[in-house]
Amino acid sequence: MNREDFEKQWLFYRIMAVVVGSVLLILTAFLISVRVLENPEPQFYAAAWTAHGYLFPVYVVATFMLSTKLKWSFTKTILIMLAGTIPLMSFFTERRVAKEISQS
Amino acid sequence: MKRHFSIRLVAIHALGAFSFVACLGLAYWQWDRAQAYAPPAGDTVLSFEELSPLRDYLPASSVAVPTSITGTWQPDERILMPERVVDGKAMVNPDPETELQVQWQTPVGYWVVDIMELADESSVGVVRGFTESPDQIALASGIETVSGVMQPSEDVPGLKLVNDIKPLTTYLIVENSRTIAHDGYLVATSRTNSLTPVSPIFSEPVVKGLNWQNVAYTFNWLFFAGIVAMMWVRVARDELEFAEIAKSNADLGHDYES
Repeated sequence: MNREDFEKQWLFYRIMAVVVGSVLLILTAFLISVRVLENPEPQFYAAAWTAHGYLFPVYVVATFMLSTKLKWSFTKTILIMLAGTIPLMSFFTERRVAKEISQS
Repeated sequence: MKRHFSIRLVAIHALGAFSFVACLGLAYWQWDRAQAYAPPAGDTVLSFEELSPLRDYLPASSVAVPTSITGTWQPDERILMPERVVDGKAMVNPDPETELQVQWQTPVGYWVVDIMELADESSVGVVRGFTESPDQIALASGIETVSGVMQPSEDVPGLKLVNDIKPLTTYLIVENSRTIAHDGYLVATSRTNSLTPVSPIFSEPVVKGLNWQNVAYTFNWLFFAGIVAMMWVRVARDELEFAEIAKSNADLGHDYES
């Protein structure tokens, strides 16, 4: 494995995991505010969800590229991709992958 | 050549093809929704099922479009919306960012909302009319056909009512329905009771042309389709390479044995 290539993929994955996780967390807070607490929708609300719709596929690409470097199984790759759709989960998976890499 | 037809490879192609086609299908669906905003010409009455898909938001293109529904009234589920006037438009704050208090020159009373259960067991909130004294209005019962125009839930972005009037939301209708409710509500234009007919908030189609959000989702799904195609090619290629290596190893083993 080319070390430099791997470092790039790893950094790309980490950035996307944090970005997608943070955006999803903020949007979930607004979702609760709008749907549960019945506050009015902020102006950027619809646009922000649309933007998240574009960020998530980039996270999927980052995960896939890293998975090919680390030879993850298909199931593991899909599960880590899906972690990007659950609030906070991408932070945990990023930590777990970091631990896995440091041990290998 | 046998390796090209391994069960694993067939499964990869099947999953790849299915996911790719599904993404394209979803992109088409969003594109279809984005374009569905051209309002029908004249007084065309569209079927309610077409206008108000169940388990989905009321499309903006369906707002103010004449339709009709037939169903059974649910007399125990009446909702009274207080502090309202007959003219729905008069209740709208032109600047949604501000609070506005209006001194009404017209009678103030209730919008009477009854729930109608349709043949498919879905529920629709129907504004049957306006009254100052709701106690004197008989509960709706039996089977009836009502003509009217669909209105969005009054908590949609950009819509704010004056005088802190409590909005008639889908949430409120859902809370008062026994079965799954449609988004938005119907303002009855056919007069079948002693209530004063209500003038809806939206009497003209609200959206014309493409809807940017659905267009954005269309490209979102095309983007996904591209990613799926990339993953599909990569996984299939890796699988072939793996099979090639496995075969080479097997061949070498065979050579050593002979």
